Amino acid sequence: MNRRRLLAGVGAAAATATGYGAVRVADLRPYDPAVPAADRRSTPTPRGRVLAAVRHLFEADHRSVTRVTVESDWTGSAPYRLTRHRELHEHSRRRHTHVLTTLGNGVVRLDRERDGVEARTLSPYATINAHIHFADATFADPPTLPERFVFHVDDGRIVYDRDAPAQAVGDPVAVDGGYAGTTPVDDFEHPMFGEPVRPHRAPWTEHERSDATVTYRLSGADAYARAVPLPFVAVDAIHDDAAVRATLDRDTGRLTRLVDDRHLDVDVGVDRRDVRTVRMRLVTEIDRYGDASAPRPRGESDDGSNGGFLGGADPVDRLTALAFDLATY
Amino acid sequence: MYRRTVLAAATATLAGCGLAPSPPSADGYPETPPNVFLEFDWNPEASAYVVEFLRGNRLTADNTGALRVRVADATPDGDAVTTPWVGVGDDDAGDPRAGFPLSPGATLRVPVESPGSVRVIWVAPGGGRSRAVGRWRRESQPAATPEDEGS
Repeated sequence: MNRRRLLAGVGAAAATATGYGAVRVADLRPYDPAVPAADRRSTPTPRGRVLAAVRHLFEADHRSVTRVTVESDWTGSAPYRLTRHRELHEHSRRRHTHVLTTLGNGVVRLDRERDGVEARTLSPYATINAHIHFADATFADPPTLPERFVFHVDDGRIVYDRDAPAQAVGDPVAVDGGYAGTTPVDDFEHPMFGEPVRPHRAPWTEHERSDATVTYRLSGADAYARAVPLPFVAVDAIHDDAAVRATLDRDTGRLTRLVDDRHLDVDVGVDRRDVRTVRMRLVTEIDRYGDASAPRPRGESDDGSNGGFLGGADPVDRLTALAFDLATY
Repeated sequence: MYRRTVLAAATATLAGCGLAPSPPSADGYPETPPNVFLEFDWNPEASAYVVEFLRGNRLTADNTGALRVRVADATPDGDAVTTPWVGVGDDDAGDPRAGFPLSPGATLRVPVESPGSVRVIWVAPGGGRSRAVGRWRRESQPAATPEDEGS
């Protein structure tokens, strides 16, 4: 073969492979998830529309903020703000950030040894990472609240801070060393920390309609038990007035607001059965569809890295993640 | 000049690859395990627990690897007894007592010699993680370990 021709072929192959690999590892991917409204004909029921909107959260970049208020409990502290959970999901680049803040907890104000009460029983979270934060916060001394936990997932690593600095919902996400660090990971399986509504068969009804939105409602113990992922606590009973309201944009079908009125009996005892009633409201606001971003949190984690191509994880782990990207996407 | 060579090399390089990277997918939905709410009843005459699947999601092979009932201090020697309800069986306890799907309303009878505390363990398909989805203890019994998720 002509030597020049051979070199040209090898060069073209190398350039093509490099360019193609760069596109993949940089997560430059087509991003055009169909909005749930496109499914209206195939999902004409309120339940179908709600589930399509929740499913859409797994494809579309968005921001979600959930605020939890304890409306009544047995501690004498209610009502009080329990937690806030800010989520930034950038599916188009496989980047996800969670900022969990525990603001107060009536149980930590009790003498837990005297009362024999399990401090974690008020956790609103359905997944283990979020629950670990709640356990951290509620085993702390009451004066240390609020406590914040930052958890960021991208290709090759998790960046976390179990004692993150104060930050408002509109602020850039920040970590500040101390209890911060990174962990290599090539494929994190649960970047959403759970969904607000599971696939289920219980009926929803139209509750309210405006020019721009429609709100559907689901209620009753059986329906609630099918639809809502419940937390890591010993739930003894669900009251019949437990309910969920989902507000969808009428044009796009996207979920914009979810109100979960949770009313449970939980076994709170440490060394004995001790069932108490708790009522809380979880309000989730979802916005910035299509343009939310989840960059690496600002500040230093314990590896001293400020970012960069290989920053934040061992190069071998990072390369493993890149290989995973190439093989998967 | 070498257009054919370049095109041939590029085509060969991309052979087997998709032309474009995959877009975001909703395949991860749902992330949470199915809800299972249970009711427990101790029958002293029969020396058995009756566990009822009271509320929650239907358990299928797609969302569940196994559901097991474990009774602590179930024998005079203080040993635990595990009874597989549905899904993958247990080497010691044998085959599951029911098949998929398992729906609310299903019941399981668990004969034991002594009424120790009860935990019901859900195992993910493939066995990668597990979670306690129900527990029962008598008023005077010590606590079971907290609800958790294993890996």
